[in-house]
Amino acid sequence: MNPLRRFSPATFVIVLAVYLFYTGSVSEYDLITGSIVALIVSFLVDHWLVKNESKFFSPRRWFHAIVYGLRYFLIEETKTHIDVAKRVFTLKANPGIVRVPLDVESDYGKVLVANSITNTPGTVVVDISDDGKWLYVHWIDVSTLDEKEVKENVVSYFEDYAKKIFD
Amino acid sequence: MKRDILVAVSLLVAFLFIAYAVTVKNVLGLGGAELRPLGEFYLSNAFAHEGLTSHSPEVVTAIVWNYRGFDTLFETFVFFLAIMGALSVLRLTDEQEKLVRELEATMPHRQMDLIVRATTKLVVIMIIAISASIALHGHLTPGGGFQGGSAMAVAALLLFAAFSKFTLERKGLTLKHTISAYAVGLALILATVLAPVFLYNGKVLEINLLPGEMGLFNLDVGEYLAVAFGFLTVFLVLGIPEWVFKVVLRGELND
Repeated sequence: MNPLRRFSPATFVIVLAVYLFYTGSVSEYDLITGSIVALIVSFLVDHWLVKNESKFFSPRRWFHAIVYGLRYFLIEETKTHIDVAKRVFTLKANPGIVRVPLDVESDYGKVLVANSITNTPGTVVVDISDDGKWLYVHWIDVSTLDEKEVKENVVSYFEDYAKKIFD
Repeated sequence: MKRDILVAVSLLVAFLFIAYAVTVKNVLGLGGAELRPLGEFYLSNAFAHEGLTSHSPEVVTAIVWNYRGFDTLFETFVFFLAIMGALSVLRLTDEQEKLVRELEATMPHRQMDLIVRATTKLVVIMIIAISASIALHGHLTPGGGFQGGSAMAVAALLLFAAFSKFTLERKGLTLKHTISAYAVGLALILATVLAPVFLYNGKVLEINLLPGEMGLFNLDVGEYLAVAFGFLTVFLVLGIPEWVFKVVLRGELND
């Protein structure tokens, strides 16, 4: 096998970025040592971290990721925080575990959906099925047991963006 | 309920009183103490441009190397002895290693779920980058080879937990490779320490081989390799399940 095909540019960029960010300076010395480390790591891990290189370097996906990050942390988080804060004072809770179907194809997309759900107050991902098609979510207010409505309420917002970013 | 409030308020008052006494009234004499003569000496002599110096602008690193070089050298030695001890106690012959591999293959294959695995991938790559940054920048900022190597070993442990030790061994992280890398690291340390003697009739531990502030760079790399792969060697040996070891040792008794 051609050894050059083992090289993963996306891994190289990630490692170099983390290295420079953690070092906190961009001198000649840092750039050289960082590049050497990034080269070694990207040859070692092959395409283990990033399977599809063109996806990583697509500006459209990065744009969606940034939009999602801003909207998630500024709007969605605030809304759910207010909602849960209200429940704390009124003691109105109807907790339970629901099963939600997942439509995202890629692994990282599933992780993004699951972590977004866990990070918002009121919902926690308890488990994921072995084939990765179902999420088990603990929900503070189980208002419905209908699959479609549950999906609409819990994951569809995150999943739309996960599809745009990772699929 | 009333007692709880009382306890909370009295703790708060006591805390505020102590904080006030220590910071504002300076009861313990901690704040505003002048630099002691020894500290002043170290600060003014830590970074010297000539003579026996490590050429490190980071004062802690400079002191460690300028005044306590042998201490660090023997620390590495202690670590070496610990790893050699673990390896010699838990050593296996070729036949026994084959048996261990067969026994491990019969174990049920288990791995963490998708979320944990995908997150671990990204975190491991980041930890490797950060550990390299700690190690290679160790002579300029807090950190160094030992700290970086330990962080690197943590990355491997995460992989052990999220995937399995056998996955790593199948990918090529075997005992043979880790011991070789460990030896390379030790050789690099030894070469850096002894090179000045042969190169320009200097003294042992006069380590400014590279120009300017890069003097400690090769020591950093050596220590990083040695510590990371030293830990990995021990983890790989200790990662063999207990019952497998028992079966193998029982076979030794029967011979």
